Parts: sequence; C-alpha cells; structure tokens
Amino acid sequence: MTQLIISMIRCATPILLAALGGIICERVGVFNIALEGMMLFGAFFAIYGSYLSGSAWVGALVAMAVCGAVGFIFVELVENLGAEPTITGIGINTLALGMTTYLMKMVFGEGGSISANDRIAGFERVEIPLVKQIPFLGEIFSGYTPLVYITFILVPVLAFWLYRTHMGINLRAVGEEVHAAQAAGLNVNRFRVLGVMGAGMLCGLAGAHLSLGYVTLFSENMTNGRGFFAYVAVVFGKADPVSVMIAALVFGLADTLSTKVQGNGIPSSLVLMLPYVVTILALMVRSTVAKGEKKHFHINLTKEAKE
Amino acid sequence: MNEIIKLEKIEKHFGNVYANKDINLTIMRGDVHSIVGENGAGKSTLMNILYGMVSPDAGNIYYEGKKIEIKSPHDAIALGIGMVHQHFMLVPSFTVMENIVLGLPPRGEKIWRPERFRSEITAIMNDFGLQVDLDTRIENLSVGMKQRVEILKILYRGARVIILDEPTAILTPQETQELFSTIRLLIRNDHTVIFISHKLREVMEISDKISALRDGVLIDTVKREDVSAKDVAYMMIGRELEPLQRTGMDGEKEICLQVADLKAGDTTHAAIENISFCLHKGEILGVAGVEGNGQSTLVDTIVGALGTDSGNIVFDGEDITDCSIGERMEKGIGHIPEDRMTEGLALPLSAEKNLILGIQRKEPIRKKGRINWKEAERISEELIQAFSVKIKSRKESVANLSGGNMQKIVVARELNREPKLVIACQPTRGVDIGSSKYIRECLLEVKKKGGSVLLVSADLDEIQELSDRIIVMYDGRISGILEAQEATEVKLGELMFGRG
Amino acid sequence: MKKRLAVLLATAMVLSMALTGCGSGGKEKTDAGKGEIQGTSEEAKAENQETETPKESEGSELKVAFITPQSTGDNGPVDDIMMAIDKVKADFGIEVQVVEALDTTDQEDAVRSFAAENYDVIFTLFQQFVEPVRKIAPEYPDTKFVLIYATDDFGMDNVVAYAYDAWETSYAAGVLAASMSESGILGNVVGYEDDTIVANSNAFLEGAKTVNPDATVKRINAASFEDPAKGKEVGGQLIADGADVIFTDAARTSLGVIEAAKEADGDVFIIGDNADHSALAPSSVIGDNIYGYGNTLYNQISDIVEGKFTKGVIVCSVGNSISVLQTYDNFGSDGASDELKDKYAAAVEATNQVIEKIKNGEVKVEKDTTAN
Repeated sequence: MTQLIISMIRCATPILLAALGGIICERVGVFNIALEGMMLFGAFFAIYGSYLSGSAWVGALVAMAVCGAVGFIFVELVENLGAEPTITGIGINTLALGMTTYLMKMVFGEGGSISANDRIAGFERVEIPLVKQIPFLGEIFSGYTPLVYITFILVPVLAFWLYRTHMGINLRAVGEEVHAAQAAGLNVNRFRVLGVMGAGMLCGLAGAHLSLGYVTLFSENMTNGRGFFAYVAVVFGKADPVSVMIAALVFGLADTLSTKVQGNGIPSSLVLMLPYVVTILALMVRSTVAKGEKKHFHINLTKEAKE
Repeated sequence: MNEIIKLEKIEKHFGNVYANKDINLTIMRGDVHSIVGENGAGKSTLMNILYGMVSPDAGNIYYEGKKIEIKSPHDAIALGIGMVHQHFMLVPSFTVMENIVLGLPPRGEKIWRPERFRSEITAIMNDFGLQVDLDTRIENLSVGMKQRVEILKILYRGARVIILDEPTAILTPQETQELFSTIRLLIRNDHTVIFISHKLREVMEISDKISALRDGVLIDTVKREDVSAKDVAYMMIGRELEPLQRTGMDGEKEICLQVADLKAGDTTHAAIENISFCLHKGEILGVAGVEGNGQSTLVDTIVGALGTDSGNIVFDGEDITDCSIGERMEKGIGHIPEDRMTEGLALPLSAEKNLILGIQRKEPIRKKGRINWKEAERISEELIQAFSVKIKSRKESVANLSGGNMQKIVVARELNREPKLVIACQPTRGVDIGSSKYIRECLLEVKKKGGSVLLVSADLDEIQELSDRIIVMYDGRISGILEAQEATEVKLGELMFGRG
Repeated sequence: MKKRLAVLLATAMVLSMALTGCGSGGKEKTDAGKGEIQGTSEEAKAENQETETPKESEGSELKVAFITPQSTGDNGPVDDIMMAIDKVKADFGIEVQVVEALDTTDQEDAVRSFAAENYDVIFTLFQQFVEPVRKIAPEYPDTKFVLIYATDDFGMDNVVAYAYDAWETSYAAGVLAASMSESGILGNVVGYEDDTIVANSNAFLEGAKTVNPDATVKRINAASFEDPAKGKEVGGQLIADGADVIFTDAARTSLGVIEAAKEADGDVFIIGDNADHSALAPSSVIGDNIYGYGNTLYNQISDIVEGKFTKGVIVCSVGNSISVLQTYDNFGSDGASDELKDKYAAAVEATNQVIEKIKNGEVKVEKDTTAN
C-alpha cells in the first residue's frame, strides 16, 4: 500500500509539474500542446547544465531558462505572428525530439542516451528528519528528490496566486474573456507572453526532474508522452491547480497499477491500457459534467460586420 | 454648461471606405447626447476613436479644452471616459466585485482583498440606484443586471463621460426605463452621457442633443426640443419614412398552425413545456420575450430542426410532428432564421446560388437532372430587382453584402417559395431602417395574401407594430397571449418577467 | 508575415525531422549517403540493366550497407552492430554505409537504392525488411541480402536470414541469476511481449530452477523500449517485491532499471540486453544477453571476403557462438567485496558449464511461448 502511494506520487510528479505549466497557458488562453517538447528540452538541458557545472540545481536553472526561451518563441509565433497553435505545438515537439537527439550526439558523442557520466550530478533524495520517523506517513512523505516536494508545494502556491492575488485574477480574466480584460485596460499580450514563458519554465523544471531527479540520465524521447498526459490533466482538472493535481495523481496511479497488477494472470497488454482508458474515461466524465453545467440561456447576438 | 469633449475633423478610413469623414462634434458637460445613425453610419467607429480602441487617421480630440491623444482604453479611462459596449466586457465566472475591480492598479497590494473595495462600490451603487449583489457571479445575472455592472465598473474607475453603445437593444421595456432613470441620476451628478441608438422613440425621450451620422458624415447636431422624431429619421436616412400600412384581420378564421401541449429541449436548447397556441390564416402572431426563454426552441421544433418530447404540431390540417425539415418546407413552411450568417445563407456562395437554394431540385430550375442556369438567372435577377438588393451582380458572394442586403436575400428566397406559413426570427435585427421597413412590409404582404406569419422578435416595437396577437414567453412557457390592442408595453414587460 | 512564418515553421520541422531521422553522427556519412543514393536511384537502376559489370569481391572493394529501422544509440541491437561495423573497418578495411530508415516507407526505398547502386552486400535489421527484400532481391541477383532477425527462407541464392534462439542464452542467464540471488525472486523487465521475448522469459525461469528449484520470475512489461524513468519505477517495484536479480529485454528502458539497482539498499544485480552495460554499474551488472547481431554482421562479412555465402536460414545460438551471455571479469571494480567477487566468479563458472552443455547438446532449451 505505501509502496503503491509512493510510486503513484513519483509517477504523477513529472506529469503534474508540466501540467502546472499547462494551467498557466490555459488560464491566459493560449492553447499549448508543446508541453511535451518543452519538457524534453528541459530534460536535455538539465543534464547539460549539470554536466557543465556539476550541480543539479544549476542544471535545473539552465533547463528553466532554455524552456522559458522556447515558451517565448512559441507564444510569439502564435500570438504575435498569427501561427496556428496546434501546428506550432507539433512543430516544437518534433523540433525538441530532433534537436535534443542531435545535440546529445554533438555534445556527448553518444547515441541514444547519456548516463553514468561522473560529471553529471543528479538530485539527492531528501530525508525529512522528524517526519521520517512517523510510521506510515514517514515512508510516504520522506525520501523523494527535491523537485517532488517543490511540485506539490507549487500546487497551493499556484492556486493562491491564481485566485487570491491581483496578478492572478487579471491573468484569469485574460484567459477567460479577453475582451473584458482588454476593456479593463490589461495588457493582454504581456500576460500571454509572460504566462507561456512561465509555463515553459515549469516544463523545463519537469524535464529536469525527469532527467536529474527521477533518473540521472538523458535518453532520446525520454519524456515518452508525459507532456500529453499533462495536457489531458489540465483539461480534466479544468485548469484548477488542485483538480489538476488530482488528475495527475489518477494518471500516476493508473500508471503504477499498469505495472503492479501484471503477473497475476492478467495479460499485460490489457493492464497496460489502463492509463489510456483512464484518460478517455476522464475526458468523458469531464464533458458530461460540462454539458450539465451549461447554461440554457445564451444570447447570440448576430455579430454584424462592425463597419 | 461648458464643453467637455470636442472632436475636430476626425477622419478614419478602412481600406478605401470612409468610416468617419471630417467629423466635428462638441459634447457639453451634463448633457445626454445621442448619436444616431443606421448600421454602418460610423457611430461605433467614432466612439471607438473616443475610447482609444481605434486611432483616427486625422483630426484632433480636446478634453476640457485641452488637446489630448487617446491611444488606448487605458488613456480614456484615465481621462474619465468610460464606455459600455454593446457586447458586455465581463468575465462570466468572476463575481460582480471582481469584474468591477479587474485591471485596477493594485494600490501597492499584491494580495487580492476585495473587501477593501466594498464600501466604495456600495456608495456608488447607492448614489446612482444601481443595486446589484456584489458576490454573484456574472454568469448568473440577467442582461439588465450585467449592464448595471458595466456602468458601475466605469463609474468606479471615475468616469465622468459615459458612452452607452446601443444599451437598450437587449433590454425589456422595464429595464429600459430603469436605465433611463440611472442616466438621469448620472446627469444630476454632473456626469455626461453619450447615448448611441437607432431607436428614435428612446432617443427623443432621453436626449438633450442629437447628432446624426450618415455614411460616415456628421449630418447635423440639434437640440432635442427643436426637432420631431420624423426630423431625426430624416437626418438619419436622408429621406422621408412612410408609416407602415397595417390591415386588420379578415373575417374568416381558418387555422393554419396548431401547436398542442408541446414539450422539447436539449443541451443546446432551453427547455419548453406546455406550449399550446394556434395561428390563423392571414394572421401575424408575435412571439415576445427576453431572449433565451424558449423562443428558439419553439421555432426549431416547428421548422423541424429539433424533435419534440411530447405534444404535436398540426400544419394546414396535417400532423407534421414527425416530418423532416425538407418535408415541412415542401408543405409550405418558410423560415427566416435568427442568424443569417450561419443559418440563413451560404456565405461564400453567390447571391444567385443563395436565392435558388431550396428550389434547385424543382422545376423550372431543375431540368433533366441538372440546374438550368438560365432560369436561375431569371429568378435571381427578378428577386434582386423586386427586393432592391444593393449588389454589383448576382454572381457576387453574399459575404460582401451589408446586413440589410443579406437579410433581404434571405427574405426574398423564403417568400419566393410562397409559403403558407413564414416563421420570421428577428427579421430586422441589425438591419438598417430602410430595409427593416421593407422587410416588415413584406411580412404584411404575406398576411394580405392570406398567409400566416409567426414573428419572433426581441424588438417590442416591431412586435407591436406588426402582430395581430402576441404570445409572451417566459422560462419555457407561455406567460400570456394578448390581442394587439391590449398589449401595452407595461403589460408585455410584466409578462416577459413572468408576472401579470 | 504569415507566409514567412509558415516557411519558417516548415523549415524548422523538416530540419528537426532530418535530425531525428539521420542523426547517427558524422562518422558514417549517413546524411550525405542517403540523399545521394535516393536521388540517383532511378538512373542507377537503368545503368545497371544495361551494363552488367563483372563483380569484384576482394577485400576493400566490397561495397556494404546496413539499414536500420531504429536509431543508433539504443544501447541495444543497433549499437551492437555499430561496434561490429567499427571492427569490420579495422580488420578488413571495409567501410559500411549506415542508413537509418525509421519509416516503413523509407525502408523499401533504402533497400532499392543500395541495390541499384550495385552494393555487394546489404544488411537489414528486424522483420520490417522481409517483404521489401522478398520483392527486390530477385531484381538484383548480384547483390547479397542479409536479413538480421528473420526466419523466412526465400530459397533465393542471394538471400540469407539469421534467426536467433535467444532463449538459449536466456536459460544460461537464469543460471547466472539464480546463482547470484539470495531471495530466489527474479525480475524480468521487457519493453514488449512477443514470442521470442516470452520464450526468453520462460527459459530464464527454467535455467534458474536448475540452480534453485523454488526460484520465481516476475515479468513486467514496461510497454516501452525508450522510457528509462518507467524502467526505474518498474525496477524499483520489482526490488520492493524482493527481486534481487533483474533480467532486462528493454533497450533504453533498461537504463532506468540499472539505476534502480544501483540505488537499491542491498545488492541487486542486472543482466542487460544486447549491449555492454557493465560500465554503468560495475557492481550491479553481472552480464548482458547478447543475441549476436554484431557478430552476425562481422562473421558474414568475413565469410564473404573469403568467398563463402550460404543461402537460406541460419539459426544463431550458443552452439555457433554467435549468441552469447557476456560476463565481466572486471565485475565489482568500483569496490565490491572480495566475497561478492568470489561468489560472482563461481556463478560465472557454473553458467559457463551450462553453456557448454547447451553447446554439446546435453541440455536442450525449448522455445516455450506460453505467456503466464
């Protein structure tokens, strides 16, 4: 049981961290499916930063900086140059896969993975002194790498920021009703650019967690779809940090179960569908709920050609 | 009284079309200054320039005698100019208070503490009679309430000049009266109101000054007491407007459409229940009500776009409850849909193709399984002539037409099939006065020929002007059926809110 | 503006695809090679039909190509072959052209292009190439086609397929694992489940049982060959369940399993797959199950250089020394106790004896594909 919970938290963390970035994008009204690519960039540059500096933290900062820049490019293309967000997102994802693989071969001269390099420092596990001694909880709450704690601390922080600060309220207005935000004199473009850059930084951190915290290595396409799960978590959680956290934990649980249940006479192929089945169910539940909530009153004034 | 805003030689063009040309306008402090004009006359552009949403190509703006530049709504707000847009600029999931405070400088505080603002906002509410619950979410408010929030919002930002863009278009008569009393309170408190409208009656009721725009040019600015409604109409459209010639109903009362105990609704249609009424031949039956109270559902069940849960619809003696849209058309039901852009027309297609839609599979357009383009040309040219659609050629895409001309195409097509029943939904919404009048005449013509019209409109004037009887809908039910004579505005307004 | 942007995006995407597709580094001249070959394929084909150039097959004149459906650097089959290619160059002075043909559509093109360029030998990897070769081989009788990892006998003089009885080495791996295990609980992490992989898993258990009749194997399908994080999770899970030796068949996913073993509290050992993993964790990696893809290529080229070529299907096994269970003399070089090193030496000794028995037929390993 404890093992299951620990494993669930570990599996959920990279998804959740990227999803927190996804929340910001959603809240500023930018459709971003480039989470996956940003995460992959993050994973590589975290390793590279750690390799150059010998510090995992520097690695994480490098990852954040690079992904912030990628976020900037993405949002500039989409918002200010009128690029189609889906295609741009796919472009970034493809670019991330190609570029990280290429850079890996250039910088490290290796093929599909970098590992066991003495110069690469990963994150150490954190044992929380007092909590550790508590029987059941100690096991669950202690012994993760630092970014796991940071991720779960970020959830209430982000929620507070979105719902209880001026900036957060303004940001939500931008995403929900851009005309209202404009009319209120908010600089919509600035919110979007900074928001997506922030999202990029969180994805960078998610990548750093994957390559320096979860494991200490980089390999081609190591995000393996986690960014897409993150996006689904955002949709499922309606971009609310706590709900998204729950969604990410559900995915983490499904992921864990998909391997835990194996070997008990159930064909693995069946069990392995679990995360995907959960995803589809989640989306179905979500859309049903959304339908029920829909107001029966909607005024659709004919939009006349405004002169 | 002194001047607060002066616009001098304002010019703005989009492409090679002038939206505003050489406009000189002075607004006096404490006035209700109406700007009237037809759609496309340049009212909105002018106001957007004043509010900093559009920058003029030429001209100067003076505020209290000082020359200023308004580059963004931000600048306008800072000057004390606020605008209530036709489409509300509110965030649905936010509370009233959050919407009012949105975008204000945080006054050095980063944490959101709405309570700090409450007393100030309450004071304004009390001063101007704009009561609204500050903790309700916008999505749960009525249209009139939302408008209040908009006004509160700009007042809280210190607006002294308030621009109201077509504020009454979506209000019930009662709500309109409430708005007018607010406007009067504003004026009493030394505010200035710029009122944009094309409803002459309202303009005559509330204004101190009236400026009329036509084709981007300011025709004249007059004092209200110096002119009549007819004069203003003349300024707007540049010609006299004859009143509609109404005829009463003929003696015989044969039933055209009978709806009995109808129940319908789904996720995109507001539920309706217990709907029973009949429509006679040679009658125009108006359907009034605040939008979203089931009118669209009713229309969709009658034209066949939505199935019924129970009840039946009898048309011309025949139960058509289970007939398809096509079969109903075939039997003689014409439909002028609410939204001409999405439902009424195939926008990219030419006027000709749009005009023959629905009859393309019948003689004489259809000939040996193909379309007889000669015939199509004859019919479409005829209709364009008859309805005086302003269009370069019948081959022109309808997307290029103005709202009024688009609507004329829809009406022409539907009436050309000589339906026994015309279901007209918001037939003149967003249509200029001239075309509106023409379309209304067409509906009266249908009636005169013994056809029936079900007229669904949010424009009470239109309903009262045309209908023989009026159904009022509220919350998916019929809250009352009135004869035209007894349908006063007050009575209708009460029924629209489910009272009475 | 929009148009420029579209061009920019398109360029970025094409660039990135090129990078993913042909990113095998500079030394094999892949990018240039591929483009050139594809570009001239039609003319070259025509040329070939007109002038039947006599074949020269001596030493460095030999033109050899290798087409891989997955990218290099997989810590598995492709890397194994890449090492053999280096060796071929050193020993015979033959440069092997390497092309990554990741899409099914590219694969047939690649085969045809090399054949049209009069290549003497074309190596392909995995099942994807069976059909293209079946189609193209008859048109180019002078080119030899070598299918690595296929079981089909085309009956053509210029085609040979290599099949792998990897369960033999898996059986030996079971012996090694059980000899090192304290708990008798063994783990098996796979990236996919097909007949061969399941057969390996079953043979692994059989081998283990010869040492410890109570041994059990817990197999987990990680459903990916390229997810080290998942590998680590699954590895950790197996370790938590008591497994102290884990046998992997999961390419890059294995890297995570190795990390999990390294970080485990007690001694946990790994038998990896298709590449030398010992450098990653000298005290954890006790062996690697090498199917022998690299050996196949090396042996085949050396045969051809000597003028030998056998058509049909060649089964690689412990018997012909192509498939091997690689063990490491420098085990524990990063500070394992002497006790442990001794234990390992004994385990390797026992394993080698079993391998000898398999070779001389004393022990027969069946292909058992029943999934549990």
